[in-house]
Amino acid sequence: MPDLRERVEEDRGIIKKIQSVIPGYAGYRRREDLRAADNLLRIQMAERLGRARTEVEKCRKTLVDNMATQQLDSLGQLINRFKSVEGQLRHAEGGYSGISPTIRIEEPELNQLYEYDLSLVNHILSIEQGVLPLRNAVTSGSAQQIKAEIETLRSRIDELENTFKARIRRITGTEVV
Amino acid sequence: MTLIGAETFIWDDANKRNNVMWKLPRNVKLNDNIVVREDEIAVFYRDGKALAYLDRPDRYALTSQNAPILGNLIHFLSGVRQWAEVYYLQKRAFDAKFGSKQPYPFRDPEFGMVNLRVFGEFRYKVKDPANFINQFVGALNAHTAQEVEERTKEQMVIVVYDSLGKMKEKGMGVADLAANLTTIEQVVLERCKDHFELYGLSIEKISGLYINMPEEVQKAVDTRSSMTILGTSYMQYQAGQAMRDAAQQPGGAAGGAVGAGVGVGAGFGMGYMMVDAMRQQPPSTVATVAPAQNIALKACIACGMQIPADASFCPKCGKPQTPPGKLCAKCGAQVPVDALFCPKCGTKMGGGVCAGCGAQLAPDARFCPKCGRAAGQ
Repeated sequence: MPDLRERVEEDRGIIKKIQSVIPGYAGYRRREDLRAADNLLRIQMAERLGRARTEVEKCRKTLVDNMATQQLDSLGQLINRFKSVEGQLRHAEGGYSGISPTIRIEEPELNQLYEYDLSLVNHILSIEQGVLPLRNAVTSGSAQQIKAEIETLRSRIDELENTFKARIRRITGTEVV
Repeated sequence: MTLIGAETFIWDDANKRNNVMWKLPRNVKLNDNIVVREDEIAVFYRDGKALAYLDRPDRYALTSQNAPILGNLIHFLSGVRQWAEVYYLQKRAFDAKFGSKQPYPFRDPEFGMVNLRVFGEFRYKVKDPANFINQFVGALNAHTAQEVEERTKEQMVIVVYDSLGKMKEKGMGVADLAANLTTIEQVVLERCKDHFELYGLSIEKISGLYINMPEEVQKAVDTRSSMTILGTSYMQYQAGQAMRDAAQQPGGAAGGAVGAGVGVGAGFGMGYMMVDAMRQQPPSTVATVAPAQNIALKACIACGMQIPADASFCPKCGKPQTPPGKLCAKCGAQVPVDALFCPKCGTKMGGGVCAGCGAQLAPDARFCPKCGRAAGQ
């Protein structure tokens, strides 16, 4: 798995390279690149979640084609949950702190933030793995099984969301438990 | 103006509101920067080719041959200028309304042909920038949300009707529409894909779906809902309604005391019938009440409506269902056997029957008005 931080650093253009050697500006440049790497990572994760959602939408299509409307409503709600968490991943804050902030986010925290976000890939993998049983349940036409698989996927998405929401607090050590 | 003429562009909020798309107002020069925000996507075209979809929020420096010296030199020598352009599109969703301009006939298994009208709101967003630009901007020159909605809302109505038609094939009738709105929404959302993705649009949500039925069908649906809630058959429900109406209108057209008698009588009669009917049904079977055809019926002697065989009064016209005892000699109304006065004209009863021709005699008649035979002979 490529480390996007290295890739962003390697691909610096001439202007960025100049910026990274100017005293006082170099730290700004490095933090900016770390945030860009984290942003790229989150967008990729959101896209993976989007692909999983597309698979769930295919399940909805199967149900609609068969006019098996019993579980359509809860499947629609699941799709909306996917969209919601997808948006949160895509548009989450990037770990910025201004001059003299209350809670400072420096390079070590930004590195941790990247690694924290990277660890969430496991959650997405678990969600992706939950789509196939749902698809099988839809194909078999068992309403009970469809309901169970929807519940499973929903709980996995909730878990991802809860973990993701706490990222900044956990990285900065400000989470009150 | 800088030395090389480059600028940094953002999609100004003044241009953004209610615009789905905005095109950079001039030919892109070398190192022109554009800022793409979280809710935007920019498409960079050079010489007609879509070179990049800039959908990550950032500031992007663009390249073209329109450099200060090189570009001008090429233009001076050949007259050719490279054409580079940027289209901004909004990623955020827009809300629009749709509604049928005229009612659509819907063949319902219970109510027959019913004219339906549908109204609602839908939320759409640009899903595929290239398709959107080609279909809306290129083909239709539509940029604003209003122009896009004009092109899509009629299509939405068609998809809703189409979905209702498909659901009808699976047994859904107009009486089930209200209870299935979220399911209808999901069906419509799924079926929308085939219609809107070619325009680069995705329908994200449908809300406030309202399916309007004709008044008489709505009344019938309401009646059916009430029957289900009360756990009664149609006849029992109608009887209850007649009882209520009779109690509310003690006078009626028949006049004070007599009308009151009919109303109260009907009330008692129907009330007992309802109570009996309710007693026969265990509470758990309320929702699955026995259909009306299981009850023995007879025709009302006055209006001919089918009513329960043991009903004392007609739930429709309120007439007593006892066989006619005798006729009023004055107005000819049917009068119960034991009535002392005609309930219609108030004439005193008790005249008896002519022994000769069988005609009804007035109480004070000394001769039969039909055959002339003396009364009592």
